[in-house]
Amino acid sequence: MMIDIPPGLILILGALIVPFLKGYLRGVFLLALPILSSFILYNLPDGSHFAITAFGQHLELLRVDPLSRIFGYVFLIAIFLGIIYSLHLRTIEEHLSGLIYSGAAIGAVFAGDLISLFVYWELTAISSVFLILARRTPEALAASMRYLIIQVGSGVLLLAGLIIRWNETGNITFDHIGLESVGGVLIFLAFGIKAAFPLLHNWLQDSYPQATPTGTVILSAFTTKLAIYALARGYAGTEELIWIGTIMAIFPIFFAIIENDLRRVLAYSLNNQLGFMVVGIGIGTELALNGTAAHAFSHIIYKALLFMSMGAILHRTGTVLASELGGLYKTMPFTSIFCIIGAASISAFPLFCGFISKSMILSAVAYEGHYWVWILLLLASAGVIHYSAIKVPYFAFFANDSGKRPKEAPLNMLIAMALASILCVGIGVWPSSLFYILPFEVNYIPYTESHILSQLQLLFFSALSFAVLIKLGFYPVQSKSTIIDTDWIYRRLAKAVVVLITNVALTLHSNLFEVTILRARRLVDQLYKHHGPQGILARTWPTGSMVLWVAIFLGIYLLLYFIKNI
Amino acid sequence: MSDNFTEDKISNSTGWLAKKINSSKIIWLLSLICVFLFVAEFFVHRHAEMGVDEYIGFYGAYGLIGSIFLVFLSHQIRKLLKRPEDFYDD
Repeated sequence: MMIDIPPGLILILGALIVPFLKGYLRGVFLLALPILSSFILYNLPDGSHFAITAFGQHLELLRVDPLSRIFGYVFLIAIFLGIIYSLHLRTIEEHLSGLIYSGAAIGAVFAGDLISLFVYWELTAISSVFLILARRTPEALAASMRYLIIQVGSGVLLLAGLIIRWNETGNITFDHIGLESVGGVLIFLAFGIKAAFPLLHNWLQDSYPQATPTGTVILSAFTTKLAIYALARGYAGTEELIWIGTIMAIFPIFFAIIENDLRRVLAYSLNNQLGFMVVGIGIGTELALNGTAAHAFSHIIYKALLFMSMGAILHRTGTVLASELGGLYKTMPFTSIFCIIGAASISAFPLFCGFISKSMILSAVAYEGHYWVWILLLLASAGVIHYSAIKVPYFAFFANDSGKRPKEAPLNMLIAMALASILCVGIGVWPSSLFYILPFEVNYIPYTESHILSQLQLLFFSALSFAVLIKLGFYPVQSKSTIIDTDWIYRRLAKAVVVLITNVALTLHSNLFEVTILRARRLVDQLYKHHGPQGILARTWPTGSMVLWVAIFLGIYLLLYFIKNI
Repeated sequence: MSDNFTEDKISNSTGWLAKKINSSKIIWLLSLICVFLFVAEFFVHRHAEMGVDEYIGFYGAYGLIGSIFLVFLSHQIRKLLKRPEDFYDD
């Protein structure tokens, strides 16, 4: 039956046809793929639909349930928006890469066993790297190689974990895993790398800002949210995640405040939003998991919207450094408005999508009585307003006039941003549309008087502090600089260690070599002196020489015998 | 560029906030909204989720103080982590 084709596979197979199409036909075909895929997903009932037997195991390639379905939908929305946003491109590498990448992410979401998950997991890594390489700068090349090493490394951990688990339990179904076994811990780390856990996070801020304007929009949607899905599936209710998530929600704020590259600011804020979702998974109640799924859904849309607005600036001006921008609202008014809508959504302003989903996570934390986690997440919410919601639009479109007068973004980019904006507001105004596809039944009312008021107070008092700090000159000056993060460990420290080891080895090698050569030469000289044409021992018959050596060995033997018997 | 605390993008700018709508006006407007939101608290039925949010003005005060704290800590972190732009270039 045609209906049973996995939705992810449609995108991957469709990508193979794209090179043979040109012009409008290619555009129409690209847009038709996610629409067809969504239609098939919509008509698929829950259950397992496509199973094969390989490696002596039953592989479930298409397991549909409410948790995988919501991620499937939002991934399809993301690639649809991403394609519209990149329709102006004449080259096809980003389209191909984007289609295979999103197809792999969707395939992974519907994988019912760990082996299929692993295959798709690695495919997302390999297919997405071209979105960074397509920038064609030396920095992008270097960043893409670091990205690839870390992403494939995550896959290797997943493979190791699944083999151990297979060996221990004989079962590779992808359901709750937990941290009780070594295999479980390894898989947890594999997911943790892609989810950008603290200290495992830096690939994200290193590589995303190096990708093409369109590449970053597509990248921002899939890898990390696939990891969030995988954690929600395998580790719901794992308490360690509560604190991991809280740290994730807090520490990127400092970097986002001081970072000058606005796409890197957004990458840090992406990391912080993932923190909220990870806390939700750690809490593990129905409300918390609903909150995580809802937040992933709205986050993918508003984060794509924010990256789109910055991508439009990069496309038009060639830079997204806060220190180089300012005053762009004059010639890019629509992009400014869309950026502000994205900013209102990420800061959870009432009537925007972030308000609905973040509230669910915060309420779930409060209901379970995690006092300090709640206090810290509230601080993180206030921080979001500063670095992401106000800083990004402020320094790009307002602040002091940079004198740049770029043209408004291309039409296809504006359409993509408009659609994302409509979704952000639509979900914010009609939350029931999102509640309808959440994994569990929803008994949550986001819009209560009390809740709206507290959120508005938090937002406006934080905004006031931003305005006052800017006015007084206490806000960090945006200047060209590099802010070092954990990438320093492998880009500087590890390099220094390797250089040190190489130098030591080279010195040792050359010294040893010289000394050995010297010794060998002396030996040869000695041999030549005694055994050579003029040597003493060459003057006698070999028998004489032999007798001499026998005498010497006998002497040594006697000496040793004597020492032994002392 | 210097790492100077007082170097201000606004003071010597000719931008939107500085000219068309004066930045002090924005601050006054925001303050007015904040006062309104604070007063509104006396007329809205509040139900606290955590105990500490029972106190009048908790969310506003926490937002204000919290974000100032974050910005000042960022300044200190920046002193520690800031390097020249070409730091990783070889």
